[in-house]
Amino acid sequence: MWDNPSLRCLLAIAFLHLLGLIYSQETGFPEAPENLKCITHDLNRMICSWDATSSANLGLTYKICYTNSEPFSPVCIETEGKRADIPVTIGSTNIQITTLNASGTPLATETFVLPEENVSLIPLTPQILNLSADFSTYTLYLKWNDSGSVFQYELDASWQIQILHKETLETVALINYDSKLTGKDSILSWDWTSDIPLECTSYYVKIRCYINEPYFTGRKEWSEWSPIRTVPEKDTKPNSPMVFPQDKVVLVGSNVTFCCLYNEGESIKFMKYGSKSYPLLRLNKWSSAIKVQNVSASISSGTNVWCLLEPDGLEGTVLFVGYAPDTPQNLSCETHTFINITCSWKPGRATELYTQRQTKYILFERISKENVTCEVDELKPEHHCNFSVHANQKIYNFTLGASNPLGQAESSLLIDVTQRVHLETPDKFTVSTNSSTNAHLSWYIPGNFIQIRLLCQIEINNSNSEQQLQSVSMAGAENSNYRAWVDALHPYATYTFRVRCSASEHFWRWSEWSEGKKLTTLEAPPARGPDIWRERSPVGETLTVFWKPLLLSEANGIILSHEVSCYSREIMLKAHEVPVPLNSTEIKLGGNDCLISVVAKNRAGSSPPSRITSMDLPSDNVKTELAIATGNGIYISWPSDPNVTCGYTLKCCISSGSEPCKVDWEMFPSNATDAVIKSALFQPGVRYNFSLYGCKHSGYQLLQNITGYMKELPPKVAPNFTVEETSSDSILVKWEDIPVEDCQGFLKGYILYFAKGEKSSSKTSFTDEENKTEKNITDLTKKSLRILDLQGKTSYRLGLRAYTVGGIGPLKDLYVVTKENSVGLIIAILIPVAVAVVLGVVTSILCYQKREWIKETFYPDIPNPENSKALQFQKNICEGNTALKTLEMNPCTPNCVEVVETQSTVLKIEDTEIISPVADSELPEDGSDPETGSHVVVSYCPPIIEEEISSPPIDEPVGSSQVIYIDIQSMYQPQVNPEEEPEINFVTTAGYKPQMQLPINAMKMESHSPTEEDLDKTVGYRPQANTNVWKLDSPDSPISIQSNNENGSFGSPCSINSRQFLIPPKDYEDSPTHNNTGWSFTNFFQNKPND
Amino acid sequence: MEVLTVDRANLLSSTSSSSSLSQQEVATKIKQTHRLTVLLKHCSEQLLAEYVRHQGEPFSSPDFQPPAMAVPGLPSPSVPPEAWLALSDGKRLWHLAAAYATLPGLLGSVRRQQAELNPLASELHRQLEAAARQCLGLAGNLEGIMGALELPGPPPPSSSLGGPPTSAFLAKLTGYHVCRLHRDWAMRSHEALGLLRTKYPL
Repeated sequence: MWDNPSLRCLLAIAFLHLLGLIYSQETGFPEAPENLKCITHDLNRMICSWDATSSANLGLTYKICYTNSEPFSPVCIETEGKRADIPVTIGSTNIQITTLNASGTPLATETFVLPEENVSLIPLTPQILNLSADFSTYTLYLKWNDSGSVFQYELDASWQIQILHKETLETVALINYDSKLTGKDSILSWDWTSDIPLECTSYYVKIRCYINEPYFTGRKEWSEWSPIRTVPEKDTKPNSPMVFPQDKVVLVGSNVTFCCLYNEGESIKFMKYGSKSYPLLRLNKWSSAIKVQNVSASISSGTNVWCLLEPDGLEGTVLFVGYAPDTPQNLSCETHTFINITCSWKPGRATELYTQRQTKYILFERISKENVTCEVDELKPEHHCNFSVHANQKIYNFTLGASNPLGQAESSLLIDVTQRVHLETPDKFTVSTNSSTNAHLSWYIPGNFIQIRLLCQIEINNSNSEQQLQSVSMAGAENSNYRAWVDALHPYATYTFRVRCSASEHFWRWSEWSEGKKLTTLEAPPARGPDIWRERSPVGETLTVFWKPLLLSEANGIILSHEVSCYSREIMLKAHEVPVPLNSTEIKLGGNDCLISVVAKNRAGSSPPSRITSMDLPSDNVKTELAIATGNGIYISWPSDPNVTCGYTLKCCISSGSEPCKVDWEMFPSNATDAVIKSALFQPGVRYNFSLYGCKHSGYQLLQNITGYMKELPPKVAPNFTVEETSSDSILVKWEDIPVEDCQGFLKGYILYFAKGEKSSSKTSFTDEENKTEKNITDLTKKSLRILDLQGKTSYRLGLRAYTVGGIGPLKDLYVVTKENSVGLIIAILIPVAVAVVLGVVTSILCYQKREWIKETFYPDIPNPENSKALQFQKNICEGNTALKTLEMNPCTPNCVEVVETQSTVLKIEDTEIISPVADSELPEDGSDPETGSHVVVSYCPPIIEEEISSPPIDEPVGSSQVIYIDIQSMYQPQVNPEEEPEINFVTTAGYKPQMQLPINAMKMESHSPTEEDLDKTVGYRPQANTNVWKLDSPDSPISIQSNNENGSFGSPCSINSRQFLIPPKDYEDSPTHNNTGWSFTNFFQNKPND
Repeated sequence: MEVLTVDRANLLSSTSSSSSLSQQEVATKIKQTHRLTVLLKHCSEQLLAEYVRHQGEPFSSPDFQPPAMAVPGLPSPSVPPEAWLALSDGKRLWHLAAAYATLPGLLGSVRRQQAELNPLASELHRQLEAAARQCLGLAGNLEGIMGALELPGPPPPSSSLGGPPTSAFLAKLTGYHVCRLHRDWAMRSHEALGLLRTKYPL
């Protein structure tokens, strides 16, 4: 096997190959190649390079032999350099590099095995074909060739573009850009927008590439950066200072960077946006910038941005800040003349941009594909644009585009032009007439309306502001006059006409009204005769004929005169013409009746005649009826009269103010029986009189008189009334009628008020009176009234008011006092006197008959103690018995009876039965000397009494305790020394007090300034009469000499326990006190609470 | 306010026959022209105030003093006040005539620029138009006086700002300078005619 030379050769190659794999073969020669590196740009060929020492021997060459795979023989090339271009093979490549000297002798050989992984794919360095800039938009445009033809198939390529600026080449942006290589060379383009003006500084661009070949297992690397390119024309500093951007338009809210460029030797002092200064950003040595955020809308001339330079310089620019155009609103298109279509719209939100920056509008019609540039006034709220009407085109599809430097918007509208006809205002409008009821109208409308019909509206206004509309349809014409006529006008009336038009079939809008034209129709004869009436003079010789002027609508012109004629059996007896404004005339009848005819005349002719007979029929027993006021008129009714054949006439004469009354009348048909009469002259509260005439075959007959009010009011005045007569219990009141002019209505009655009251009372109205009495007098014939059941000697207030349906009139009042009741007074005096006399007589008789018994019992010559009631009385007291027993004679055994003489020069009267009337009655008002009252000292047994009175104050003179019996007939009470009065505490005791005890208490009360209340507490028993009554001094009383406080009346009949008079002294009765005029004996007997 | 109307045709015709004008007529003309300068002075101040009111900051700022700017065609009244008064009447009138030959055109240009920048400022437009008319009138009057006094006339004017301004800011700034120069020239003309009036009393 080893003998086979080819086999041996193959083994030798394999061996060498293995050596090449394992070693980087070095033969040890310095010329031996080493560090083989291979790169490829196109995956087709690769460039390999190596290192080798060649210093010693010049003229070295290299022989490179490479084989891609075993079956192929190696390919050898020679090169002088240390690099070689060899094809790229899949898998690995064997490369043998032999260093040859100048003579071609191999010096060293090196063999390499190069796997694909060790080959680098580095694309060719890209070249920028073009770099341009749009300074207005701060945009850079870059173009380069992708060299796609290098590769024979599609590949993904990535590009990296680097933007640098300033002199220091600071990276502004690094952008990746992917593309696909198509096997052919393509020009790629890319743009980039700066956020600061490109003029502000220098910009540089470079680019590199990366090929992404998925099947290539070697290293894939970025290409080299392309040569740097500078933004053209701005790579040098400016010739003069400037601020950028210049006159830029931006949206509200944008962020804008401004830069100020200046010359060498200058420096920037500050930079402002408007009035606000911003911090400077230095871009380079000849440029600084400011950044303004969120700019707001500018004024119309824009916002100034300016920089102040040192030493002397001012540079600036203007920024216009606004909005993009709004969508055109309310787009509407119509034609006025069928020549143009006028589209109108509202621009919406203002853009705040003007003149060359303002919104521009273009109207585009899609069907005809025509467009029109619209000239609009930005300041007007509504814009218009005209588009020509095309023949044979009805449908138009409009799109209105709005654009400005900040954006655009559009609106669309599809219309049928025949349905959008808005005619021009009718022009050359004329009105004429040649009759009293018709008018001819003519007007002109510009435009071509042959293809449509027109509908015109004629407005007719008369002088009463009544409006009437007439519509007229007519065929359209081209720039033509249109005519119409109106009829049914009123003669001699002034009208104002206007006209407007629209399309008839498809109404869109009315045109504006034409100007108004006035027209007055011609006169015509009056439409009817005037309303007439006549009145005979009282004697009957003359007849006054009245007529009413015709209404303007009836007169049909200016009434010039009235012709009044008098006919008798169709023969005109008299006729005369009465010029206006007279509306009556007198005709002398001369004893004959005739038929009166009145005709109204104007320039156009005469009215039909109005006729009335002059004959009056006699009337008997004419009644006057009352009419009913309706508030705004007078309702009158009358009975139907079958003899009335030609109607009724209601006549009245109404006067207004101071002028004489004006005859007026109204006519009603024969079947009428009532009417409401209204007149502007009627006034409320005024009485009007009417006369109703019936028109009968032979003449007029007065049927009845009627009086009434339009509106009844309350009487204007109160009726005058007087008191005719008064007695103690009645008043007769009499009143007068109210004058008719003051009634203001039909009087319905009177209301009479009366109530007790003084003239000085503050009450002004009877409505305030609580106890008033009122009487409604509806009988108007009654003119007086007697008021009964009154109280005597009492003041009464009387009031009288009249009333109508309209209300109650004012009040008139007076005061009257009734007379005193004399019978009552007499009775009041006589009865007490009679009773007193009878009692006195009876008492006297009894006393006389029983005088012996009385004497024995009360005044024996020698008192019998056992029978003495006085002693019994004393005993009761001693025993403290408070029972109501007086003078009860109980057995009482005296211990001793001692009779002693008193030391007083005046006999001291001791009377156990005597009490001071003051004690039970009113105390003296002056309170003077209360202690001058009697001091009753009961010295007679029993011992208890003695004990009570035996303890007087020390300084008091010794009071006697003796009992002195005296004759009652001769006793009198001596004055007692006040100092002798024992001080005894006042004891309040209810119930009956023995009279002998009372003086003690009474004296004490007086000394304590008693009050009435005290008395009430003290005294249960009351004296029979008022103490005032008894205060009067009796000349018979010895006490009265000494004291006013104690009144004795020993000469008068008195009760057993009292010494007061039962019958008051006569002189007291004769002097009664009249304090109150209201009090009377009548009152006393009537006992009324209000007395 | 006094309104003066100037009939340019009459003025020109009077110029042609200037040699025949009497001293009295010259004095009357000077007096009329002086009264026109009074009006012009007042109106020019109003115009400047109205102009800056519509231009925004910094023009509307009361202390706005931009660097002097040459307006093409319009001579600046650069002669100091003392020197101005020291000039001969003929020189002064010559300077005035040269300025007022240019101002109407410049004011018209400003009016057009403002119509573009401030379409809503109708009062400013009205005042600019009135100022142009007044300047035109004064130019005619000056021409008449110079003719009467047999003084040489000014060179023909270049009556507008040339092409449209390159930027809105520049238009505003140029307009401001025109209005300010208009005011300054009005003051100078008022002084000059005042002096002349004293020399040619009625």
